Amino acid sequence: MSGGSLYSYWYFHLPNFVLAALMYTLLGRVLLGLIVQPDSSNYIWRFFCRFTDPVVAAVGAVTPKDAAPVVVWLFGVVWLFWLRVLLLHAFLYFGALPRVT
Amino acid sequence: MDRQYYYIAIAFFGMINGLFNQVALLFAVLHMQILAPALLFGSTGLTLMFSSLMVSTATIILGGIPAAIYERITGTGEESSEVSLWIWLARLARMFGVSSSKNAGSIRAGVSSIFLPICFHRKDRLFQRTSQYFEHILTICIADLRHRCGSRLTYKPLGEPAISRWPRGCRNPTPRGLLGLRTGSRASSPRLRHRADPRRPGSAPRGRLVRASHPPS
Repeated sequence: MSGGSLYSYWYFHLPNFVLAALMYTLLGRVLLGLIVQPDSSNYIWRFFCRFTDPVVAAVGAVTPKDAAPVVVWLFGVVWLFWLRVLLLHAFLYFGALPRVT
Repeated sequence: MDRQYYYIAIAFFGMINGLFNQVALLFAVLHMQILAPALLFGSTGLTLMFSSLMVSTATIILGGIPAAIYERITGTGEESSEVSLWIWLARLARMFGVSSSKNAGSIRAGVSSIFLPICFHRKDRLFQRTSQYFEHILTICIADLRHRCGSRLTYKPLGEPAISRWPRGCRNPTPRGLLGLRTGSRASSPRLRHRADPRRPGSAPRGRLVRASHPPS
């Protein structure tokens, strides 16, 4: 996945980039959550929450209710990572990406 | 039982899954290197540890999905019920039995088959509701164990005699047969056929496996 192939394979890189951005933002939310109160008005915190809340809601639907919010966020990171792996393999399966030789 | 023990057990099984599931670990390491190379500053050791964490967490997540579905169906309020925690734990224990390596596989399957019957010792009404689910898991575990031990163990369903081999054409009473799975390669080999026990005429169902001198007609 070199930079030269960025434009050629935009249909893979675009969803992969969105998933990666969500994953890292969720990780940032976990780290920021250690020092910021949940109802903080910090604009970075609010952005993190607003950006990742749909993912947290989706992950929360398939997670038992006993899991603490921070655990659900971490589960979200793992979900997004494996979704990226799935995306990569789906594109490789359909021959939409060059194989490593 | 205190909820803390459930959490400890869930974390324990998740940790073991991450430590000993070599194929999944290798798969995760490769994809970590491809998809998130900068996350751990290119350190191979850290990447390996993080991949192990990914595998552990993934198994915990997968184990939690049936429990979450159960909670959504039954509507258990704000907290998980004890049944859903049991389901979570049982699923994780089942994954513990699914092996990717030959050496650790038998140990894991053995531990699973020892652990899961503990579920049945609980006589609460809530547990009786999910007994079929646990029995299903236990049956798979026993089938897994049988497969690993070379069919030397015998699954004995309640009220039925222990039968290690059944002739072809008869209903397969083993857990794999009950679940509609394929039987072992030895039993399904076309070169093997069954012969009735000569000491007991008409005892065809207790037949023994013999090597056929010629292909069966």
